[in-house]
Amino acid sequence: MSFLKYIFLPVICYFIILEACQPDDICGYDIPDTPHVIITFYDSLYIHKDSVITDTTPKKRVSNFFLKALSVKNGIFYSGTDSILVPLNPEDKTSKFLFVKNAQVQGDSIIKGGDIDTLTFSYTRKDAYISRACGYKATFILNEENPIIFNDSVKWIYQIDKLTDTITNDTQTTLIMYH
Amino acid sequence: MTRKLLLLCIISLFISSFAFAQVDVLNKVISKSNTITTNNQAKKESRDTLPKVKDTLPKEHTFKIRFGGDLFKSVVLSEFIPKDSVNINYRGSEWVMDIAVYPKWYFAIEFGDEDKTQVSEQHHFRTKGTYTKIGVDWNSHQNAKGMDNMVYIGFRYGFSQHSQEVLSYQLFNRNSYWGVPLEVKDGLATGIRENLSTKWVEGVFGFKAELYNSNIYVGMGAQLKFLIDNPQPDNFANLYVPGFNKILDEIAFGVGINYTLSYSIPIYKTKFYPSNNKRVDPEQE
Repeated sequence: MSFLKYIFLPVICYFIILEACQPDDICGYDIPDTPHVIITFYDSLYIHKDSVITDTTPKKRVSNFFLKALSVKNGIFYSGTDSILVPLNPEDKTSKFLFVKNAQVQGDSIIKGGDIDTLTFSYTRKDAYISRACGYKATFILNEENPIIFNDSVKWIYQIDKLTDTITNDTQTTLIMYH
Repeated sequence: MTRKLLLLCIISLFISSFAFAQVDVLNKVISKSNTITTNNQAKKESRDTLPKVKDTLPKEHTFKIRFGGDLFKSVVLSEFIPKDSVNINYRGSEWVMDIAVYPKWYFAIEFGDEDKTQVSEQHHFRTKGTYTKIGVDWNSHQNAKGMDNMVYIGFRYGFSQHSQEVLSYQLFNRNSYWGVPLEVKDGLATGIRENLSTKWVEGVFGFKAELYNSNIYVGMGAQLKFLIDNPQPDNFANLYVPGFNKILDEIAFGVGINYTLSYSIPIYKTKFYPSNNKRVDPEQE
C-alpha cells in the first residue's frame, strides 16, 4: 500500500484547488425572473354576452398602445397588440399607469396623447427564492378589494375581469380588458 | 469575487507546499525505521541464510489517543482571508480526536463550529452552527514499533445543527422598468431560519505524521462528501452548511480539507499475534 503515499499528495492538492476555485453557478437565461401582470384585450361585445371567454375567442388589438408609469420618465410602446406585460413597482404597494390608445410616440416618450386611461394597481409583494445564482424574484398578489382603480371618468377600457390574484410567472394571463 | 477566488487559489498552493514538507517528515520516518533493521547485521544474516520462519511471537502494541485542532479553519480561513465585519466574515474551528481500537483501525471523531457571512451578487447571508462527524480510519502505513504514523482512508457520518440568516438580497429582474433592481435589506424574505440539520456521509483520506518523536502529529486530509438528508430552510437554500461546506444547486457532492495538529497520549498496551492480529489473553501469559 506504500504507493498510496505517492498519489495522496497530488490528489489532496487537487482537492484544495477544486475547493478554492469552484465556479459559481450561472443563472440561466431561461430562468423566469420577476413576473409581470399579463393583460389580454377583447372586444367589448363580449361583456354583456353570457358567453365565457375561451382560447378560441378572438382577441382585439389595441392600435398604437403606450404604457407608462406616472412616476417613470419612459414608457413602453406597442404599435399594435392584443396582450401586454405590465411591470409592477416592487418598491411600492401601488403602481399608477397610463394606458394610452392611439398614441403618437417618439422614442420612449409620448408626443400626442390619444385616449388615456389612468389605472392604479394595488397589490402586495412576496419574494420567492429561485437559486444560488439567480437569488430572489418578486411575486405579487393583487388586493382583494379594488385591485385596479380607474382614475378618470371617460374610459376607453370598458371593463376589467380578473382571472387570478397571484402573479408568479409570465405565462398566465392575469386580467382581461374589454374595449 | 474574482479577487477572492484568486486569493484562495494562492493560499491553496501555499498550503500544498506545507504538505510537501510533511512528506519529507514522513520519508525521514520511513528511512529511519529502515536503517534500524539494516544496521542489525545479525538479523540480516539470519534472514539470508536461514529458512524464513513466520514470526509468531506476540507483538506489543501501544494504543494512543490523539487530540488536535484544525489549523486550516481556525487559522488560515479565520485569520488570513480578508474580511470586513459586515459583509464577509468567517470564524471557524474543528477539534479532532482519534483512537486506535485495533491495529490499523482507528475510531475518529470531529467536532466543529463555523460562523460564515458571505456575499454574492444576489444575496448576502450568514450561516452559523456546529457539526459532528464520527467514523473509522484504516491505516495503510506499516509503522515501526512505537510509531503511530498514518496514511489512511476512512469513512464518516456527519450531521450539522445550524441556522441560515438572509441579511439582504437583490430582486432578480432582467429588464427592470423601475430602474436598478431593488435591494431588499429588511423584511419579506430576510431573517433567520433556525434549527436546520443536514446529514451526510464522507470518504476521507490523508496522512498524519509525527514531528521528530515529539508526540505531535501533523495531519492533512481531504474529504469527499455526499448529502443524505438536506432539509431546506423556508424560502432559502442551504448554500453553505457547517462541516459540509459549499453546496451547489442540484449537486449532492461536496469537498473539504483539513490540516490538523494533534497531540498523542498513550493509553494502554496489549499484545497481539502478528499472524492473525488476535489479542493475547492476559491470563494465558
